[in-house]
This record gives sequence, structure tokens and C-alpha cells, in this order.
Amino acid sequence: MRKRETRQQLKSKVADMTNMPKDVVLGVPVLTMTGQEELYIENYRGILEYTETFIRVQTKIGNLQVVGQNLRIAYYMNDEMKINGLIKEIKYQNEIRN
Amino acid sequence: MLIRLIRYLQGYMKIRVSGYSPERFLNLCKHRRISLWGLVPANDAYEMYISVSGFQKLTPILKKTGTKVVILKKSGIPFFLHRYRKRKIFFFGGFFCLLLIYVFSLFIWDIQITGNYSQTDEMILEYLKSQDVRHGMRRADVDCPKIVRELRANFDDIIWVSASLEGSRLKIQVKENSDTIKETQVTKDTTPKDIIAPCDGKVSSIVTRKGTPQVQTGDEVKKGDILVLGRVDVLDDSKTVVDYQYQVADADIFLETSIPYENSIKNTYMEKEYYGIERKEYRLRIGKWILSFGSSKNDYDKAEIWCEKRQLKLGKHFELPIYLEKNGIIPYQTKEMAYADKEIQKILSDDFSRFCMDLKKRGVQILENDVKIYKDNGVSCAKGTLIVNMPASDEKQDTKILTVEQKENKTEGEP
Repeated sequence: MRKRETRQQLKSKVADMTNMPKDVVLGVPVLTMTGQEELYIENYRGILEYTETFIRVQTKIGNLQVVGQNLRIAYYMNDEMKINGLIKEIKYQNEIRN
Repeated sequence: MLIRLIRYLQGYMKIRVSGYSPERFLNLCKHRRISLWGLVPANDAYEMYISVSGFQKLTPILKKTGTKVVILKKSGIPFFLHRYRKRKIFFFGGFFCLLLIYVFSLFIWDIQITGNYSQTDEMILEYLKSQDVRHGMRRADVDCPKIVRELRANFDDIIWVSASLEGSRLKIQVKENSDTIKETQVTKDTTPKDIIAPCDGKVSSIVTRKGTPQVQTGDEVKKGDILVLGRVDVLDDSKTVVDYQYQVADADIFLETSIPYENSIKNTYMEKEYYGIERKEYRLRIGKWILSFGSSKNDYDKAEIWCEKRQLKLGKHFELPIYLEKNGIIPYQTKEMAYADKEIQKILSDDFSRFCMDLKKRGVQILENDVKIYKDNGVSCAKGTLIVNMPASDEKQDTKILTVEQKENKTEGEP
């Protein structure tokens, strides 16, 4: 676990030095939100749970929780997914410290 | 929109995935790059849309995850065609339609001409027709550079032409030379001319520009008399003619003359009395073949016959050999009626006014008129004389050419 953290820190430093995007170097998720009703998630690993009010997505840096109403997954593809609905909350679980 | 269309063309289905861990099913689909959309949770299962090709790859995933798939709905072209596979005429119709579109696209159905102002579309089309460029010709036979060359060569005022094919439309753009004014092709006749009197009368005014005037204001002239001579004498100091100069005589001359006027009309006229019947016939003419409805047969001695004909066109100029015709007859009989005195007076006065207007347009001034209406034996007539002041500069004759015999001697005598 410690070894993994060190590697992550090193990658982060390299990304900072070389000005390369962190989502590419570190593989961290990219969230793009339009208003309160559209959310695009890139760089995710998979879905862990999905109901109309709650979606849990697995990412490299931990689980991402999306809480809202009438949540729908408009599409679910290899590199990107889109969530529609009234999004009230987005939070990370099991955060990994850099 | 485009994605929806592609999905419809490729075919897709709505499925329900249920089992122990449907989320794992979703993740495996993601991993194997099977796209899913419209994901909706439904109790312990998920409903989603999947493409036909994606669905075919599902078997190993289902085995691995232990989930079950139920197809709820099938949509798209492949399913549509499969459903109606026994309707052969439908498929034949579709195929025939495509074939027709293809065949029709091989011909020119419209010739569009733009940019022409003085040359009308009809003139250009008529010329193109003479060069075998016409509606309905094969697209492959159109030679655009040749059309451009021929149009340039035939129409002088067209300075630029572009011919291009747009689908089954031949587009011809032209630019006309609007700067130059067309030179009038009037060749001036330079033969020496005299101005002669067009009728008997008295000269009321004369202003000569070219030539030698032969009359003065107040002179009485007869028809054919020379008013201005096209020959000008060249005199020496002793007032002897040494030479002649010839030119086309030019002058403003007015002659005071009298014009007789007579116009007569019958006191009766024929009035139409309609029977109140009208027969109509509608015709559809395709080439030589005619389909008619109704009848326009005429059994009466007198009838008004009218006809309307309309040719069907494809687009703006492509004329089809199909005509819509409407024929009709309105029979009537005639009855002799007499004009009232006032009506006769009005008709004759109106005719006389028109006659006077015509004279005025020709530059004739009416000085006096004593036209009166006479009525006898079923005929009424307006008769009289007009005293007018009319221009008399247009009637011309060739000038007689004279030679100067003593010219040689005279020039020799000069110092």
C-alpha cells in the first residue's frame, strides 16, 4: 500500500513538472458537469451500484457517489458515461491520500 | 440524431438483465466495448438498450455473471425487414422505386438560366434546343464546355457563360455586357433631297436649317411643290453661280390646310340574347389520346365558343405532352335594336375626339372645325372640314443635280 502511494506521488510530481494532464498520467477520473442535470464521467472502472437516487462508480482513486433524483445512465461506454437527472451530491469514498 | 439513425439502421433491442449481480454484467460489457444506453434500474434488474452486434457477444458474459437476459423490444431496419420478409410486392416496390430514382437521375429535367436581362430564357432555350441541348436529354450527353463556347459565339452581348450540372439540373449562368449601348444600324441616306409639300395649303411658318427655302410664310403651295431645295448655290462676288452644294434639306415647315372628315354609323345594331345555356367540356390530352368529360357540341346557329388550354410542365420550362383543356359554348340569338339619338351622338363624338387626338399626336394643330352630325335613311354621319396647321417636313424627293458649265471659265478669270 505504501509502495503504491509513493508511486502515485512520483507520478503526480512528474505530471506537474512536465505539465502533462493528470487524468492521462495518473488515470484519475474526469467529471464534467453541466448545470445540475448532466454529468459526464471519464476514466472510471465500473458501476458498483445503481438506483434512481444513488449511483456508485468505481474509480482509480476510490468510489464516487452520485446522489440525486430520477438518475438515469444515458449511455455507458468503455471510456465515458453520462448521467442525467437531478444531481444533488457528488462525493468520494475511500480517498487515497497523495 | 445521426447516432439514432445509425442505431436504427443497424438495429437495436431493449433488454432486461436480472440476476445476482447485474452491475458486474454492466462492467463486463464496458470492458468488452459493448455500448449500452438508456440504462434504467427496474426493481432488482436493469433495463437498457443494446445494439444487435453487441447482443451477439453477450453469451460469455451471461455465463460468467450468471445473469439472465430478456428481450423486451426489437427495433430497427433489420427487424422491420425480417418481419415483412414475405411481402414480396412491397420489397419489389421499394426496389423499383430506387431503380426509378436511378434511371431518372440519368437525364436532365431542368435547365436553369440566371443572369440574363436582355436575352430571355426562351431565346436561350430555343437556341440550346437547336444545338440538341434540351429537357429530357441524357446527362452523359451534356458537353458543358461546348455549350459555353456556342452561347458565347451566338450571343454577342453575353460576355461570360458558365454551364454546370447539378444533379439532374443544367445550370447556365450568363453575364451580359450592360455597359455598351447597342449601336443603331441606321445608315444615313446622304443623297441630296428636297422637301416637298404633302398637300395643298398655305405656308404658316418656315425655319430652314439646311437647303435653300423656295417659299415664304403666307405663300400658297400645291401638293408636290418644292418647299426647301436640297441644292445651295455658291456665288462669287458678282453674284454668279460658280458651284452647287447638295445636301438633305432640313427645315421646320407648317402648312395651313383643310382636311375633310366623314364618319358614318348605322342607326341600328344587333344585340345578343343568350338562351341561358352554357355547355362545358373538360379534356385531358396526353399526346394523341384524349379523355373528355361533358360535351361542347354546338346545335345552334350562333354561339360564343371559348377554349382554355394549359400544358403541364415539370419544373419551370420542361413541357410535358399533357394538356388540360376546357371548352365551352354559349348559344345566343340576335335581335335588331335601334340606337337612341344621344347614343348616336356620343359614338360619333367619341370617334371624332379620337381622330383629333391622333392628329395632335402627329403634331397637327387644329385651328377650326365645322363637323356636324346628319341623320337620314337609317344612317347617321358626322361630316365636315377641319382647318389645321400641320407639319410638312417629312415628304421628300431627290434633288435635281445641275452642272455649272461656266465654272471652268470663271475660275480661270479669277486673279
